[in-house]
Amino acid sequence: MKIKEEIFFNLLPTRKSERVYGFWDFLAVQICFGIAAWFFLVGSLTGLTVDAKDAIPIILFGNAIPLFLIAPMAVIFARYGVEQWLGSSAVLGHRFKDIWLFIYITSSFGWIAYASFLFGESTIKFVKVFDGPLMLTQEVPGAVVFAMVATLVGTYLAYLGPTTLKHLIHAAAIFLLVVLVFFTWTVFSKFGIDTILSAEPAKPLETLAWSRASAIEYNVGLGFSWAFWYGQWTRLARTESSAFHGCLWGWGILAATAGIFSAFVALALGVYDPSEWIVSLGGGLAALGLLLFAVANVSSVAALVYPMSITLRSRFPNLSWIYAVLICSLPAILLENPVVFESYGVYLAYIALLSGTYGGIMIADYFLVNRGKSSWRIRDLYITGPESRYWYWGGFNPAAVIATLAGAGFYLWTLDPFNWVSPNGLFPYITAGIPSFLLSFLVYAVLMRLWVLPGMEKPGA
Amino acid sequence: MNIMSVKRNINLHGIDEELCNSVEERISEFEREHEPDLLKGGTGWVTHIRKLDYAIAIFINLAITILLVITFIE
Repeated sequence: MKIKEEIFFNLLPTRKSERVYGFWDFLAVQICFGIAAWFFLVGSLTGLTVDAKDAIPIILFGNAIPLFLIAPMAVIFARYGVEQWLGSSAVLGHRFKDIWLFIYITSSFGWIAYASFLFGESTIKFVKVFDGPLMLTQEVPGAVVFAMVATLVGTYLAYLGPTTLKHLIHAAAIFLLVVLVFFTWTVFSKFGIDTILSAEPAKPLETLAWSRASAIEYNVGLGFSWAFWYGQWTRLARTESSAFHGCLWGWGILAATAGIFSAFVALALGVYDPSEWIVSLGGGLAALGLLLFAVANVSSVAALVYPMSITLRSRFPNLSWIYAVLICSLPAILLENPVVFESYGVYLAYIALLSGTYGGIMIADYFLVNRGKSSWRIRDLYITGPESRYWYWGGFNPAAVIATLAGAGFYLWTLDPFNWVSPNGLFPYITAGIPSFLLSFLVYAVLMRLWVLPGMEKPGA
Repeated sequence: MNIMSVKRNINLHGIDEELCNSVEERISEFEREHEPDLLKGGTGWVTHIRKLDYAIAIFINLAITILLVITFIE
């Protein structure tokens, strides 16, 4: 069975001869994985908050800089060939790694929910084009029900395994690109570039500084979010350079172009929901666009559920595949409602908090700890308990725990995502995600170098 | 006891004997052929990243940051 082989392979360190991804392969795969609901929505959110002049550099900066800061994570997993969460044990400790694994799975329910609800939004409009039942053309219950259907179908596709999924992801990326290119062309020809560039955002915040900082933070959330998804891919890289550049540019500048286009459309039309743009085309063209968009979003759900399930199953090999897939998908249904859909900015801020903090710790370890004599010992990743050098204090690396609390605490002090206020007043000037990344980086590095590392047994002793 | 001085068996929870043997085989291969190099700053399974790779990334991201700063100042 393919799944069993995948999980078997996922737990093994990959040899050079088994590496299948070069630079161009990475670029293609990461663009396909990257261009999806999340980029369309973050672009829309940016276009509603700032004007076009600000939106372009903000989307580029917000996605490219966090990715640049965490890009060496690609190198780590290429170097050791191990799965991301297994490798993270060296930095976090075996038990603290499990807590972060739980955070990775639960925080990813949001991505599933957004892709599913976009499917729901597309489908109710599709039903409306064909004068379907009134109930199914309304956001509640129509979009909610269709979103649940999308999650279930996506889950089933993930359950079928990698062969089905590979074709679907490629098809989804092509569908989304078609929708993207066609709409960009339509919007530019309908409104003209001057109108878009001079359009005022529909929902700016109270001051320009708050609008700019918020728009940056939305994009930073998406940029840092990739921190949870490196090892699954880059352990298959043929060289460290190909892993580094493929992820950096594929998830960054290239995929971010989708965000720029959707920001332009949001500026022109003043709406957040991309399926609203499609409806504006009218007639059969709108129906076709909605159908492509819906299919692409279901594929995105499957593309998320599958690696999450493989990761969970790798951690708990006795868990049956069907349960792993269900655990990694069904809870997302609880988030599939209009309130959560409209709160994408809040979700992105929480993602920035989590993935930025995790990324800061991992990168500090890469640059300042995991070098030369202190390089990771691969055997200790596969040993749990006090025999492992990565057991630290009962399975928790105290430096990583303190750095996590410092990074997350500083984030919440700078930006309360739920109420979108800044308790310390610094948010409009420094934003929150990047400073929290830097703080967790510094705290981890200092504590490891001065406290934890000297106490650990020196390699080769 | 010095934990590095004796070969320790892997004990990941829930993995069967076949997988355990395969993991052990690869870890031993890595320890034999790559780890000594790595501890001296050498390569792991694959070719090391170059300083030029970082330089390219720094250059492009610096340009993006400058673009943002100029936009905000204007």
